[in-house]
Amino acid sequence: MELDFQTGVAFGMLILALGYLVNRYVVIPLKKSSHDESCGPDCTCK
Amino acid sequence: MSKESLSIALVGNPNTGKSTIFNALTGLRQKIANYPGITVERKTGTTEIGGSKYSVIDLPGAYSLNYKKLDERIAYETLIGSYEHEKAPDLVLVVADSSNLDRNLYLATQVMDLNLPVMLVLNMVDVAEERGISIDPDQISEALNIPVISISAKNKEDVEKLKEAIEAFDLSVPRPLKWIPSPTLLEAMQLLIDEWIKPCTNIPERAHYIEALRLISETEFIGAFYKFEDAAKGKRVIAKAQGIIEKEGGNPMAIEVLRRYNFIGDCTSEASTQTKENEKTLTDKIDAIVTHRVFGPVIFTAILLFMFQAIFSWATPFMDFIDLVFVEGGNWVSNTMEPGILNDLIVEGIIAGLGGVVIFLPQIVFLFFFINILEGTGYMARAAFVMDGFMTKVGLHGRSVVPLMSGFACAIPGIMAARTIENWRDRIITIMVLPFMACSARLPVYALLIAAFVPATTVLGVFTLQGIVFFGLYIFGIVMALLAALVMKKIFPTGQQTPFIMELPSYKLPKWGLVLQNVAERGKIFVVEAGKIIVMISIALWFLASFPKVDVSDITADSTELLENETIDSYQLRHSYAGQFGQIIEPAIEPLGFDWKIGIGLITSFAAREVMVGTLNTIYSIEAGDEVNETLKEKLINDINPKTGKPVYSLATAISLMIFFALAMQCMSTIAIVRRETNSWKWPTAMFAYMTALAYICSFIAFQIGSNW
Repeated sequence: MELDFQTGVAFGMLILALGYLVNRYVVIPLKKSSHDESCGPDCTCK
Repeated sequence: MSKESLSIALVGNPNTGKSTIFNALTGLRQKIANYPGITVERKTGTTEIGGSKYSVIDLPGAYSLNYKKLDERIAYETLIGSYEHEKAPDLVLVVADSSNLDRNLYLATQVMDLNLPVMLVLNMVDVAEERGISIDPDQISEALNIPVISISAKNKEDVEKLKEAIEAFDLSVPRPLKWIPSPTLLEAMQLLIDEWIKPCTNIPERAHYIEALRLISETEFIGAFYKFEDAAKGKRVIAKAQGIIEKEGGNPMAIEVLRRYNFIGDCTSEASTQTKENEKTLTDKIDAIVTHRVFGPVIFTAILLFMFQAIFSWATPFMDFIDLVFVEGGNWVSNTMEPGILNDLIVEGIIAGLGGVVIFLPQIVFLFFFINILEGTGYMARAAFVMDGFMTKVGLHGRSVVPLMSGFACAIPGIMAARTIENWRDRIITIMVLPFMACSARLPVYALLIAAFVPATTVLGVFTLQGIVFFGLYIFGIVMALLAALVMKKIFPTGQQTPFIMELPSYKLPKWGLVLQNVAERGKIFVVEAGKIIVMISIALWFLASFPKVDVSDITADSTELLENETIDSYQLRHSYAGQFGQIIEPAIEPLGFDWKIGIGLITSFAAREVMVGTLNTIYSIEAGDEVNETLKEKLINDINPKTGKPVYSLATAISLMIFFALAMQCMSTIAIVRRETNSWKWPTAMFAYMTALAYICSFIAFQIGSNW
């Protein structure tokens, strides 16, 4: 497959999409699910 | 005294208008509704009054500071300043419902016992006046020795009046409460403070007084949030303190309540007068019918039926318009852009994926329009009252009703609202069954399948079969939640039920501005939040469904490599990464009536349920190639399985798929929030496993029965 303009942009969008999905479904849930006991029960520590 | 970076806490009984005042002060849009228990976590915002900045904290509603429930504990801990890096608030606004002053003052006097600067805000004076109650704020102020202001938070002038009162409040003047417990009670409290609370616990000094009172009436300190040592000594000291009261003929369990209400009665007897004695209000008259043992459930069912019927009928013209916009938009991009991979990605991936879901925006808007009207008028509290009968029959606690009803919009606020349930086992059962309630993310899937496979015949001259099936799916969710609760209750008995008391607020006309604002907010969340996920998944999915490119130059329409009824585009799709993966999982879902394309949709829908529709539209658009004029509904109806030569979707397949969506745990955000609320991976894992297994079994049974009918 030739790397023309359209292919470059399309694959760039794929990389962005994969980055977003990994962040949204792996990184953020892991961070959110950890409960810091030093904070308030609703995680409103400052 | 400088008022830079001062904090104001809003505290009060549930449904007294704290969040309305919070929104008016901060300009934020904290959710408000006309029923108790909306705020279960604290929210913070900032406001500027008289050139000074204040941080404002909206606390969950509480009837007392006895912190038996998590939401009450959040309020209590904030007030006593026990959070790390946060001091006690500089000013507490106790928001009271003027039409029920004595009960509201119980909490107010407890807050004053914390030795914090307090201002009493008598809210809803208009409602009190309608009931013939008139209150003299100056007399109350004199009796309590704190500033008192009467307002109606929905009036902008009154909010300005409140801001002026905050500005004028002198925080440096101490205002001790004039309430003095009986000498016996005081002696018992002092004993507890000196012999146990002060030397053996880390409770902040300002809370010693109130904690001593709590321990005398409730005895329990095991499981309290604070640290303590020598529990046996604590028990002994509590027994000794209770003995002092009993010796004088008092009841330790009731003494604080009696003494406090005596004091409150003295404060309000002169200041509050009621002119309309025992007169039935409009709310009472409506409630006599709406909460009636027989008419109540009938009215509740009729409202739901009307709601879902209207969602289906009223939204159709708007949906057709959105559909047209996306189809024409896709054609325009396809014809305008140079042919190539980006053109295909945008048309078949992004526009098809997004368009497949955005088309359901009108139905989402109508759903939230009705939910907001039910909340704003106060009917939601009556719906909870009506549902309570069914809940308690299966052993669920009455407090589970509001969280479960919240689940109609989204499971996440419902799971958080379960904080109001005192008993841990009751709370965990509520959380575990809550995702069965049909959330708005299921709506696009239900609506698509119903529109495609359920005939639009009229029933009883008024209803359509489609609307009834739609309503039936919501009822199915409620029934499954109740059955699951019944089974869990047998496995984890929760002991004796404590009675459920819920305050029914007065009926009000919905605030139309607020309704429209909330609906717009939900519509925005649907388009922006779900849209973002759908676009990203559509991009990834388009690549997976378009690569590897198979050399189709030798394949002609009558080639033997093509299955019967298969086009070259379908052949390409079948050999893509997504196609190959789909065919690997197909044997597992075939007994449910699903083909590999539905299988891919099921997998992507674990990100969010509505992604299923976008996924199907992307896959079908790739398969259709340049023919983009068919709607997704038409594509589903016309899809032929190349192996069998029969339609992929039958009514049995559609029913099986809807049942799967009604029961399966397909929401990553819900799993994350259950992990946070239960502080364990055990519960979200168990939830995922049992719900998905149940979905599989029920879909299997439904398909097997339906296809052999």
